[in-house]
Amino acid sequence: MRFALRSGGGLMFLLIFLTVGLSVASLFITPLEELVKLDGPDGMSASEISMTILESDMVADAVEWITNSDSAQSEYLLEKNPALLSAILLILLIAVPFTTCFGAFNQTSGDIASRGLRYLLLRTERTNIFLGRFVGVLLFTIVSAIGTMLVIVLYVQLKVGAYPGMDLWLWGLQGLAAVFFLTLPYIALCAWVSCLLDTAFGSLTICLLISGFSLVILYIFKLTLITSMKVDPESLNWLFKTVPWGWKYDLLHGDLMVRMTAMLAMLGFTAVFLWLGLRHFQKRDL
Amino acid sequence: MQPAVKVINLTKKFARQVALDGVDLEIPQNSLYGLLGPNGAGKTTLFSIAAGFLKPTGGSIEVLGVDVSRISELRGQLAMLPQDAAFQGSIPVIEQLIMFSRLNGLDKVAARRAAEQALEIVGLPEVARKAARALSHGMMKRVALCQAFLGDAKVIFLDEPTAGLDPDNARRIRELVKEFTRDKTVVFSSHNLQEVQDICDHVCVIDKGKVVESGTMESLTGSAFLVRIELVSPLSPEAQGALQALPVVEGIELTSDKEFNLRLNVSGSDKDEAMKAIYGTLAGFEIYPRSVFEGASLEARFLEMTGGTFDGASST
Repeated sequence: MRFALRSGGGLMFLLIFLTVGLSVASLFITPLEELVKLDGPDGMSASEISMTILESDMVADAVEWITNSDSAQSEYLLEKNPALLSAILLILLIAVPFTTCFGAFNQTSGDIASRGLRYLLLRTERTNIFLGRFVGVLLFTIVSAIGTMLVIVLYVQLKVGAYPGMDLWLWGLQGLAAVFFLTLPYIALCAWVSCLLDTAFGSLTICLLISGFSLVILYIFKLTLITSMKVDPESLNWLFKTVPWGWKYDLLHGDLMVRMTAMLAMLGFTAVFLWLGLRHFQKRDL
Repeated sequence: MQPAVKVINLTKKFARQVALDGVDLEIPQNSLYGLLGPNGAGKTTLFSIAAGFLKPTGGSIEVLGVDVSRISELRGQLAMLPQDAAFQGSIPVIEQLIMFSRLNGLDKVAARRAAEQALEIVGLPEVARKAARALSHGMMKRVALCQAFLGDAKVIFLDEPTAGLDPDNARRIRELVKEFTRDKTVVFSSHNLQEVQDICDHVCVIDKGKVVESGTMESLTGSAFLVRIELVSPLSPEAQGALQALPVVEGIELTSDKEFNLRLNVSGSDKDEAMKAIYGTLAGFEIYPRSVFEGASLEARFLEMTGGTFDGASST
């Protein structure tokens, strides 16, 4: 793990992960904290106010729009599970692919440039180096994600105190699993890009561009099909399933089968990116 | 006996540039093999393919009978000092050496012991806990050499181990190479021809990606030996004639009235006898040398083979 995240890269990644996680949590909790200071209407407590807001139709509609799902799913997220944590998770899952790139972009590129892999190449297979770096980054990502989720759940529990502890922790655990599965393909994508390029900065740029730009291209393609070919927008939902991004909210789905399918899809993307990366890493000059 | 390293029709191209062009070479076991060539000749490329860093465009290299494309089969038997590879800057030196030892197949305790011993050998036990980025160039080179001495490799490639070092550090490294590679095959590249001549028993000259000549040091250097003599007084024509008449002298070239180069037709221990004859002849004309510089014949041969010119000898 130490060799996979070097030169302060790990620390930077941890800080980014924590900052993003806590910023998202703060985005939702700060307004509620302000409410606590006020007297609620009709003698309602701050917790009751927050529950009322989060379980309102407007929030449910917003969740359905963000997650591109139906009312059953918004009910699962906002009523059957701690709504505040669900809202935090929904935003967090948007940020995770990009924050992951910051931790995973330099798996091999920097060492290819400095020829730092040469001492290892004499002693072990290229496959071991490539997969070792992937596993190292993955382990560190898990540690960072656990730390972030731990802080978020504790923060929600102590500051808001509106949800039963067990419900909050179990939902936090499922959220952690969703974050974990979502990071997998992005770490693998970074492993592939990282071994294609000889500069760490170039690798970071390309990883971020692929993660973000692929979505822009898909949106443009979808809009083109809808406007020029009059295709029903609902029938084009599969388009975003061609990238890991399109599966992220299925990882929080109420239906176990949908959740399992999303996890398998993430593993599939991971396998493809890893295979492409490994294939190139084994053939290239180092 | 099977050669330690066998290079078979090796070719490497970088885009349009041919770095190695059908190189065939056999390096005998337990030899100290010098690889010489001008900048860009292909030495480092050859080393890099041998160590599995670069993939050949054509041909192959076998080390101890194993094709280097299956380099893991050579784990612990092949070591290398790469010319420009970097250590992880932020990780302590000892931890990196321990990891290398563990990858060589040692357990945790043995790996730590091997790493500490290797640092002792290169005289740097005090840098063990230091981050690699805190080391000077000379220290880094010695640490790099130390990783090549980890374990008990049978074949060691040393790519310009003394390049960029001050004379003291370069001497230390030469001594280490001589001391720790007695029962090993060492392939050694350097631009310091005197160094190669002192250390190596075999040599190969490579130029523009092709082998120009290879063989034992004796066979390459036995034909000529050069000295440059600076005199107290001018060399008279009679004295010049007398020197020219000596059977050991192949040629004489005046560079000024008090300085000249001699090309001698001697090798090995005959060199001392030849020098006695030269000093005796000069003394007969009451001409005395102020200084004598021995020019390595390897240098002359190298320049001859690579199309350079001999512009003087190295000081002894």
